[in-house]
Amino acid sequence: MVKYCQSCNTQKAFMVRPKTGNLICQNCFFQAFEDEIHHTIISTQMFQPGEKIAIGASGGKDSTVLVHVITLLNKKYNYGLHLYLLSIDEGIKGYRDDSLETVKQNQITYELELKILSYKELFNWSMDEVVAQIGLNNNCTYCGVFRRQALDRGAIQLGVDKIITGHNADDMAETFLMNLLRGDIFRLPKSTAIITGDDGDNGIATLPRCKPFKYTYEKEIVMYAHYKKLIYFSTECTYSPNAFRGHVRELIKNLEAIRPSAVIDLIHSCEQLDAPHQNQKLPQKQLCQKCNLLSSNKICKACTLLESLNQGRAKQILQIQE
Amino acid sequence: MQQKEPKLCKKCKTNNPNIIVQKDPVCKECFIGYVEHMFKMSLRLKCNITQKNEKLLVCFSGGQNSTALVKLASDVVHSTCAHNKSKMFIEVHVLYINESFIMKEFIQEYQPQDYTNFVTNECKLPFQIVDIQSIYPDPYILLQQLHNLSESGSSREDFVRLIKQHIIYDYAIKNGYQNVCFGQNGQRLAADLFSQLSKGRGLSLQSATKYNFSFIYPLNQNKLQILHPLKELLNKDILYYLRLKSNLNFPNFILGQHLSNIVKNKPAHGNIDHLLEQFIDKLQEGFPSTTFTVLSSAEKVTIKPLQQQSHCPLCLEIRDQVYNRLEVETLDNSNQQLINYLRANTKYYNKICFTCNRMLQSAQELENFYNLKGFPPLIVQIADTIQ
Repeated sequence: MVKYCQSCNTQKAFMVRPKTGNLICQNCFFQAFEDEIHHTIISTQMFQPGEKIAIGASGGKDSTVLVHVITLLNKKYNYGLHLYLLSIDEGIKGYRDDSLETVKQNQITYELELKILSYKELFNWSMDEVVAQIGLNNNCTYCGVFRRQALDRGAIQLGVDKIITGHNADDMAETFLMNLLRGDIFRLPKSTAIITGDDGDNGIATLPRCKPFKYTYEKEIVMYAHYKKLIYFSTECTYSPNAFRGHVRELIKNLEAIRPSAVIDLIHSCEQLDAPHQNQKLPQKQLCQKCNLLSSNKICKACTLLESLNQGRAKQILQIQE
Repeated sequence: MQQKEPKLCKKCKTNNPNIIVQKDPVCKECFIGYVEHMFKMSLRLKCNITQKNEKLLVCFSGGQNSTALVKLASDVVHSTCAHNKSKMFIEVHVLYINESFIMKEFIQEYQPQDYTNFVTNECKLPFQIVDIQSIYPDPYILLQQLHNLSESGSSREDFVRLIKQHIIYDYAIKNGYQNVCFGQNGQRLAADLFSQLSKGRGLSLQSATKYNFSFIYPLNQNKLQILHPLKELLNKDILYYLRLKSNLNFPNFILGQHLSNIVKNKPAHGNIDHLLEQFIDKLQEGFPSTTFTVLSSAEKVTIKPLQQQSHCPLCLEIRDQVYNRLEVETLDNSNQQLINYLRANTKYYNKICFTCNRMLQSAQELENFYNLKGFPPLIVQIADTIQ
């Protein structure tokens, strides 16, 4: 028996839409996928015409689809944006060096300016060296902190107004649950914020980060990339298997299998949260005394972590000399 | 070589320890003393049960947590605690909602349990049994509604839960109980919180895990205090306490046997509550501070102020706000027509909250649900009262 698309009722269904569990044809899927991202951008007033936007591009499925869709929507709906690609090389052999080739391919395909910054040139440490020093515990913390600062530095060098990243609905739901499990109540309300870093406390300018894929499912991104024949690099980070996020990721996948709307429902739950009360001690935003970038302490987290790494290296050198 | 001295109970320093309580090894006797003391302190200091002859309605389900709750309440009222015989001058009544009517429909091998001996004879507490179907003018409508709801995603369990909630609150108010006590321990509360969040009930962060939460009954604005005095305990604490204090068996009906194969093959038999229980239990084993971190975070979180505070007539929770259209619908035209139709053609669609809408999605005869057709008069009355 032929099954028809539940959207147009005309074409034959070619897949079950992960978000709804409904049958859908290819055209309706592509249309809905792009329309929902467009709605996300318009309803949240994400961009202003003439803005310069850096797309955080890793070569993975999320950023590859992001580059494709933003370029497409920018043309289709005349957003008037100037787009740039910004890539960070963490220095993970067999992982990042391969994915950067995909980014270079995207640069040619979409005719966008590309900037690549590496941990080695910014911090004098590659992730391979960091892991060799500290082992496989907490390495994701180092990488996350360094990447955040690297993106900021790259964006400043490009002279852009905003950064956009490919964080999708699954990522946001995972972050929400992880912050609850870790007791990070300050980050909890911002876990699913579509634009972060635009609050500009104490007159300190911060570069806003936007997430157009807030309501887009990871599975749908994979399907979109697959059926649009987009080329992306799909291997898990070499150092991620032990990450705590893995537990939560597995939970999200299981929830989605039971009820497809669970991911959006988690985002909806997080949207009900407000910033912590004024009488709760909030970290004050200031500029780091070492690198002059945004920090919640006198010395930012990146500089603190770097110091600990450098001290470890200094100890090693001394031991060798002895 | 010096031999290590055998570890003794951290509290009495005399007996051999039998269980770890908050990282301290304690013996059986000290453990029971700890549980009893913790329960009394919870009631007095956290749940504010301080007045003489204060009435407490204890909700009993026959499960392990509520059994422990009834046992502790009985010891405290009759001053039969193993340690510290000080009595609490409170009136405790036990309410049990008999679900046999629906359990027999769905679980072939279900055997109804009789708790009268345990509650009345052993615990010597007044015991009231209410049949779940008694709230319905036609009890078979309840079965029909359950069959119409989706097998998956805990929809049926959630529906039963909200019917029970209506019965409990209505009973409490009619009989003058201001305090309603539930037996969930800390680990269950954390799992329940995650379950509610996964169903879209973010507002539950402000109430679901509190020791003492004030609830305004929408029908007559009566205030109820919802209490969770066992919040400090974990699953293993309850299990060990029951092993020492009770001879009851807890039959384990095989869940999921009655479900279709498609649902049976889903994680946790397609049951969101069980999935989250398994998740929290697994994390608790690997990371012992999980439960208390979650509960502590939930205490400190603040909720965005709502434009208007009105209740959902089904779950009685405050209706939350939808901040983006994509939270409720997709732009592929597959559900917009249905939503528009229900909004225009049913009486109570706009009064049902986000989570109850999710519970009803994929249900058959949706119009009947959104018109509250066949629902208990109490629920219809509440729906008509709410703005």
